[in-house]
Amino acid sequence: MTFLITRRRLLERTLRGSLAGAGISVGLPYLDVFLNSNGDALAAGAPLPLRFGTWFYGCGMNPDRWNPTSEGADFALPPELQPIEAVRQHISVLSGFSVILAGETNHVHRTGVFGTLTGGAPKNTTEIDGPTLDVLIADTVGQSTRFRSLEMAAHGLAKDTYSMRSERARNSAEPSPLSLYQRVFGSGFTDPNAGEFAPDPKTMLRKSVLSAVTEDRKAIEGQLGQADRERLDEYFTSLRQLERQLELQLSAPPPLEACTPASAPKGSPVSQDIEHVAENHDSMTKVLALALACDQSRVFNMVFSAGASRLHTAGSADTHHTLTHEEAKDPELGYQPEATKFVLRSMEAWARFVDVLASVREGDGTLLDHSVVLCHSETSDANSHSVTGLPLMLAGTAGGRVKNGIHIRGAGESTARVGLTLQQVMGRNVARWGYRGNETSRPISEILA
Amino acid sequence: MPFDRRTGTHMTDLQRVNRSFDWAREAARTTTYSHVVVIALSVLILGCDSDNREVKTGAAQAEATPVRGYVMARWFDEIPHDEPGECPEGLNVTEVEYFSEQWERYMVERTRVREEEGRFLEWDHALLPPDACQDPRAQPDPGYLTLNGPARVSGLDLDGVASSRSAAQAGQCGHDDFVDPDGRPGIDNQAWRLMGCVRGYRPNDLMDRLHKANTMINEGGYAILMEISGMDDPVNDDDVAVQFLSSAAPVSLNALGEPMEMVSFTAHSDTTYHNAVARGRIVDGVLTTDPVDLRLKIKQQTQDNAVYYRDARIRGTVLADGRIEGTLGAYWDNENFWSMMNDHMIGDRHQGRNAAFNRGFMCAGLYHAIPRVADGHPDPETGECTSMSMALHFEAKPAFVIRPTLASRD
Amino acid sequence: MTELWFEISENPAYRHILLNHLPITGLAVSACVLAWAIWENRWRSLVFGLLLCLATSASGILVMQSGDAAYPFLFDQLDGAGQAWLDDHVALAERWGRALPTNALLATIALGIGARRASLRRYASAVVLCTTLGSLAAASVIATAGGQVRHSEFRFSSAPTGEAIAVSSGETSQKTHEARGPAVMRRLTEAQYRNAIEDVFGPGIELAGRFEPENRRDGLIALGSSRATITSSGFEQYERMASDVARQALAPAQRAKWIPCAPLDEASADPACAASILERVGPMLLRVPLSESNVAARVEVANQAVAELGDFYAGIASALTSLLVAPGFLFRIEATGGAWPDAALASRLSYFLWNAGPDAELLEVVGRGGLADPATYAQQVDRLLSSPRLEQGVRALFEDVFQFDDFDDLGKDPIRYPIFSAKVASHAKEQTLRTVVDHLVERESDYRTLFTTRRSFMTRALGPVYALPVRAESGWEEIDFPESSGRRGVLTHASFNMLNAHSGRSSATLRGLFLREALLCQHVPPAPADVDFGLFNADDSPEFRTARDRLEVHSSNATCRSCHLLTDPIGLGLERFDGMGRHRSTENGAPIDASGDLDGDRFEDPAGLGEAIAASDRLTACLAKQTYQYAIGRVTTLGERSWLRELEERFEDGGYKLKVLLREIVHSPGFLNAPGLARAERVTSAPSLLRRSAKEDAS
Repeated sequence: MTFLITRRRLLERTLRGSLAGAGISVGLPYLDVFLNSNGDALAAGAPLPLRFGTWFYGCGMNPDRWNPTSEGADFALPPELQPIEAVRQHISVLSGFSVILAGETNHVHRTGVFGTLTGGAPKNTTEIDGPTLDVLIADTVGQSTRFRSLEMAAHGLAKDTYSMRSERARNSAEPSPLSLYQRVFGSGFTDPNAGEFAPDPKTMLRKSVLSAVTEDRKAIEGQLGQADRERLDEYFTSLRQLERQLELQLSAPPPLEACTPASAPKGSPVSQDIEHVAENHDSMTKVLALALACDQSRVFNMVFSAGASRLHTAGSADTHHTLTHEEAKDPELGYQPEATKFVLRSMEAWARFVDVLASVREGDGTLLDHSVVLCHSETSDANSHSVTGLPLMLAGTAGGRVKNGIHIRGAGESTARVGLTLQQVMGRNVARWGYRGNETSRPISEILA
Repeated sequence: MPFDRRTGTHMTDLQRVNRSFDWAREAARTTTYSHVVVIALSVLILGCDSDNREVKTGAAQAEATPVRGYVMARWFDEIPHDEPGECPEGLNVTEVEYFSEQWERYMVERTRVREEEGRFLEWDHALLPPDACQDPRAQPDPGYLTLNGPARVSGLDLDGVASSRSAAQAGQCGHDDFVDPDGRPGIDNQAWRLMGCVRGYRPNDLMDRLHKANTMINEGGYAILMEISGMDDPVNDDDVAVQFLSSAAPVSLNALGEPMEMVSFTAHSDTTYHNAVARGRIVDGVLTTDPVDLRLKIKQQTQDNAVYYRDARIRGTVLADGRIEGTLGAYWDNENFWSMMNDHMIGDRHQGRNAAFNRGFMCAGLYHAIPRVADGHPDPETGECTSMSMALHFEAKPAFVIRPTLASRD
Repeated sequence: MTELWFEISENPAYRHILLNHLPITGLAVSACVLAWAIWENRWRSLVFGLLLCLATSASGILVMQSGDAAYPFLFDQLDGAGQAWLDDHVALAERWGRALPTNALLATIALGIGARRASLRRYASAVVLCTTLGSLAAASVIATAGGQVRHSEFRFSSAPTGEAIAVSSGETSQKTHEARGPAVMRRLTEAQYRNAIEDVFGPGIELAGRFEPENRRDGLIALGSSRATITSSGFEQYERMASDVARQALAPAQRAKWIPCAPLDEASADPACAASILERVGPMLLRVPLSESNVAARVEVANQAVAELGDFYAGIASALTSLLVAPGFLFRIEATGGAWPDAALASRLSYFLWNAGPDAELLEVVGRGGLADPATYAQQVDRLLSSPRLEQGVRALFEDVFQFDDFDDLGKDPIRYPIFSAKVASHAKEQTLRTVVDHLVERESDYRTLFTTRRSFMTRALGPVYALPVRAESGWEEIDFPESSGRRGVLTHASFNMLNAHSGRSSATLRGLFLREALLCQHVPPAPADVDFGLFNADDSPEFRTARDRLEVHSSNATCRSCHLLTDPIGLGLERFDGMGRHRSTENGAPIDASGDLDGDRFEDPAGLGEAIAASDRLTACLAKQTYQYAIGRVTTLGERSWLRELEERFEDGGYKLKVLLREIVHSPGFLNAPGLARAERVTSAPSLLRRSAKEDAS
C-alpha cells in the first residue's frame, strides 16, 4: 500500500506548509499616517515638498454659534463658520479640544495659544516650555530650504507672534507684505529652477546602510519555508521602495512650475484697522504662496490678529478684545453683536487664506494639497478667557494624508492630540507628545486619510 | 455707541470726556495682562478661622458616625434680576473717566513706550494720580453709588430681625433688608448692596458670564470640600455635623467640562483650612446649619489668598441624586473683602487698579463705601461694623474627603 | 463553465468534494448490483457487479489523495471546531480508508477465482458483497466527519476531542514524535522591540515612531505575528526609528553603558574596534552570531560614514542602524544560525518567558552548545522562571490573551460616559494586569481564583468609576473590593466591561463572546449579515427597558438563537456593569437581573459568574492551549492536540499555578522539537521528571 506511505509524507509536508504561516496579505496597516506617502512621491516622479503652517487669530468665538452640531462629512455650517462656505471642502473643523490646565493657572490670552502650540499649559507667562509645534516640524522638514520657517504678522506687530524654540528664542515676524517680499525675493534669492543641485551625503549613507542589509538575505532565505520566504520578499520589497525614494532624493528635483517671482507689493503702514489688516493679510498671503511655490520655506506662521486682539473698526475706540469684555450681550441675539463681527471678519480672512493657497497649481494638485495649515485661537469664549473647546481647523490634505471637509468633536480632550497628529503627518518621529495632563499617544485617527 | 451701560451715567453728555475716556480705556486694555483680574472678583466669597480644638472634635465626629463627602461643583454670588430703577443714579464710573486728562496724557506716553521700547509703563506712573487701590487714602473719596432702589435680592436673614436703616437700634449698624425672589423677607446682603451698581456685576456682564462658565471652579481657583457626619436620614435628621475644608488639588472635570462626582480629595495640608464643625439639621429634605466661621483657600490667575467669612451658615436642599443645592449666608470680614478686591498680583506688579477698570468702579470710592454698608460684628470700642452680610449659591456633588496625614498633628 | 472547470482542476478541495460521492453512492449501487447478480447467478452479471465494486472502491484512492492535497488549503480557513473535525476526518480516513483498496483487491481476486472455478463464483462474490458493504460503512463514517468540517449546521455533537487522533497515531512514543510542528518566523512586537533596545543599549533611549499594527489570529497576536510582514510604510518607520536609536545609543553618556572599546582616534575609522562592537551587539540583536561577511559588510558601512562625516561614532551609528533594520532583528526567525544550533530555541524560550531576547548568560550557554544537555536546559528554565523579568513576560501573555491591545483605540460617547478619558482607560487596563501579576507571579496563586479574588489595585483616576475612596494621592493603592461594591474577581473589573461594550452602552453579547472565545476557547459563529438590530439596540424603547428584555428577541428569533444562546446568558451576568464598567443595579428604572447559567452551572450575579467560570474545566484547558500556542507561535498540529490534554492534566496536578504551566510547556516536545530548532531529535524530558517538577511547584 505504497500510497499510504506517500499519504504520511504528504500530510506532514502539507501540515508544515499550512502552519508555517501562509497569507502575506495580513500585515497591512489600516490607519497608517504614511499609507499614501510612497504612492504620492513615486507617482509624481519625485517627492513634492510638503508644507506645514499655522494661522492664528485672536479672541476666539461664541461656542454655541461656532461649534458645528453634526459630526463627520457635510455637517451643517453654524453661523460663525458661514464665511468658510466657499472653501469648506478644503477645511476640517476640530471642535471641543481643550488645553488641560491640570492645576496650572490660566494665564489669559497666553495659556490657550501656547497650550495648543507646545502641548501643555505654561507654568508662568515668562517661561513658555517651547519649542512650539512649527519649530518641531521645521526641524524635520525645514532643514533643506533657505528659510527654516516664515513668520508673518498681518496686524503689523512683529513681536506679537507665537513661534519660538524657547521664550528667549522667539521668531519675530515680517510686519508687512513688502518686508516679507524683500526677505524672500530680495538679495540672496536664487531661482530654484535655475539653481545647482548637490546631493546630501547623509542620504547616500542611508542608502549604503540599506544595501548592507541585503547581504543578510542569502543567509536567511535558505532556511525558510515557502510561506515565510514570501513574507521575507515582502520585507525586501519594502526595503527597495525606500531605496528608490532615497535615489530620488539624490537626483535633482523637478522644476517648480508654479515658481514665477512677481513684482514687490506696495509698502503699508502699521494699523489695527480691520479693513487695513485684512488688506495686508491678503497681499501677504499672495507673497507667501509664491515663496512656498518656489520652495523657499516649508513651514510658516501667519498671525492675522494677536491674542487679546486690538483690531478695531475705523472711528471706534473699542477693540475686538475690549468689546469681548465690555459689550453687553444682546438680550434677543444672546451674544455680543459688535465683538462677534470681528469673529466673522477673522473667519473671512481665514477662508481667503485657504482660497489663495488652493488657487496655486502644483504637480497633480494645488499648493494646498501639499500643505496642511492649522487655524487656531487663544480662547473659545473670549469673555471668560475659556481654554475649553478651542476653535481649531485644518486646511489642506498634506499630500493625501489628511481628510478635509469633516467635523470631529474632541469632547474636552487635549489639543496635544492635534499637535501629535500634525507632527506625525509631517513625518516627525514622535509617538507621544504634550505634558502636564496633556500628554497623549493617540493621534486623531478619524482625520487621517 | 454699543454700550447700554453708558446711558444714565452722569458723564454721557460730556462729549470730550467721553471720547477721551473711551480712547484712554481702549489703550489701557492693550496689555494682555489687564483682564486677568476680572475673574478674581467672582471669588469674593467665604472666610474662616483656624481653631485646632474644633478641628480635632470635628475629626472625632467624622470617625464616630457615617460620613458623606461633597465637593462644591458651583459656588457663585448674587447676580441682580435687573429690575427697573435698581440703580436710579446710574452705575459707578472708573478712574479713567474721573481723571480723564491725566489718563489721556498717560496713555499717549504708554503707547509710545510700548511701541518704541517694547516695555510696559507701570500703573503707578507719575503722570497718573496716586494708585488708590494700593493705598486707598492716597485719593479723596470720590463718592460711590450703592444699590438703593427696590431690588429683590436672594440670601438669608442673618440677624433674624427686619432691620431698616431708619430704625437702627444701638449697637447695631443700620441697614435695609431685602426681599428674596422666593418671597422671604428680612434678607441681609449688604455686599450686594455695595456691588449691585457696578457695571461688571450687571446681568450678562463679566461676573455673570464668569459664573455661568463656572470659571473659578473649573480652572481650579478653589476646590471646596464639605463633610456631613451623622446623616442617617437625608430627609429628616435632627442632628448632623457639617465641616468645610479646602482641597489642595483642583476639582477634576469630565469630558463635558463639568466637575466630576465620586472623586477622592485630600484635604489641604494646612489645617487652618479645615474649618470648625457646625451643628445642623435636616427638616423635610432641607439642611440648615448654625453659624460658624470659615476660611478657604483661593489660588487662581492673579490671586493667592484666603477668603474669610464670619458666622457662615447654609440652607440647602438634599436632592434625590445625592447632590445638595442651596444658599450660604455669612458676614464678610471688611479687611478680607478689600484684600480680595485688590490684592491681584502679576509677578511683583499690583493689579488692583486694572481690576477696578475692568469691573467699573474706583478703589477710593469702594474703600470709603465699605464702612457705610457694613452691618456685622460691631467693634466694641468704636461701634463700627467690621463685616458685611452677603450670600452665595452653591451646588455640592458627592465626593470622598480624605484626611491628610499631617506630621504637624503630633 | 471554464471557470468552474478551472476551480475543480486547480483546487483539490473541490475535486475532493466532487469525487467523494463516487465511492459512497458507487459502493451502494455496486452492492445492489452484485447482490442481484448473485441471486441471478449468471457469470456475466457477476463480472459486471465485481468490476463495479472494483472501480468504485478504487475511486476511493483518488478521493483520499485529493483530500490530502486539500488539507493545507482548507485547514487555515476553518474555525477551531472545523479544524478539529477536519483532523478527525483525516484520522478516520487513515484508520478506515484502508477498507476501500482492500475491497478493490478482493474484488480482483474474486474475478480471478471466478474465471477459473465456476463452482466458487457465487461464494467469492458473496464475500466481496460483504466486504463491499463493510467498506460502504467505513466510507460513510469518514464522510460524516468530513461533512461537518464546513457545515456547522450538521454539527449535532460537539467538536471531536481527538481521541480518534490519539488512537490512530498509536502508542505514546509515536505520540511524542507526532506532538510537534514546524518552526515559525515572527515579527517583533512593539513591546519586544522596546525591550531589545533597552537590553542592548541600556535604559534611557526614547523610541519615537509608529509600529506596524499587530493583527490577531485564532485569538492571539502571537499567532498573527507569525504571519505579519513589513509594509513599505512600516519599513520607513523602522528605518527612521533605527537611525534615531543608533544616534541616541552613541551619545557619550549612553554609549558608556554598553560600548566595549574606544577608537584610537575618534575622528577616523578603527575597523578593529568597530568589528568588536558589532560582534558584541550583533548576537544580542539578531539572536545569532554575525557571520564573517555580515560583520565585514557593516564595518564597511561604518568606514564609509566615517569617511563622509569624520566621526568614528557616526560610523558605528550607521552600522547599528543597518543591524536595527535587518530582517534578522525585525523578525524572530527560528532557523539554525549555523554556528549556534540552539540559538532559535534560546530565543523561543526567553521571548516566551520574558518577552525579550536571550540575555548575556543564555547566549553564553548557547554559544557553547549547552542547551543540548537537558540538565543545563532545565537549569536555564529555572533561572528565567525565577527572574523578576518573568513579570514582563506574564504581562505580555495576558495582554494578548485578554485582547488588551484593543485599549489603544477605545473611545466612549462623552454624553453617556462623561467620566471616560484616555487616562481612565489606561489605568483600568493597568489595574487588571497588576492584579494578574500580583496573583499569578507574586503570590503564585491558583489561576482559577483570579476570577474570584477581591484583591486589586486602585488610583484616584479610577475612583469615580468604582465609586470608591482612594487614599493615595498619586500612584497605586492595594485594595480589597468591599462587599457593597458588587465586585469580585477580574471579570468585574472596569477593564473587561468597558472593552467589551459599545461606545454608548453595555453589550451582553460582546461580553459573552469574549468569555466564550478568549477565556473558554469556544467558537461562536459570526452574526449573519442580514440582521435587523433595530429592536434590541434601541435601549430607550419603553417596552424593552433592560438588556435582558431586548435580548429576549434573540432567543425568540430562530436565526439568532443558535449563537446567542452561547453568548447572551453569560454576558447578561455582567449587566450590572454599564458600558464603561460602573456598577448599577437598574437600567432605565427597571431592576437588572444578573442571573444565568454557564453550561448548566447557575449563578445569581457577576461574582457568581466569576465562580462559575472558575469552576469550568474549559477555563484552565483554554489557558493551557492559549499559552502553548503563544509559546510556539502557531496553532497546534494534529499530534499536539492529544498532547495538550496531557498538558492540561499536568497543569491540574500543579494546582493550576502559572509557573507549572510555563515549565511544562518549555519542556514539551512541540516546544523543543520544531524542525527549525536545529537538533534533529532532542531528548524530550521524561514525563516522570515533569511530574516531579510539577509537584515541586504544587508544594
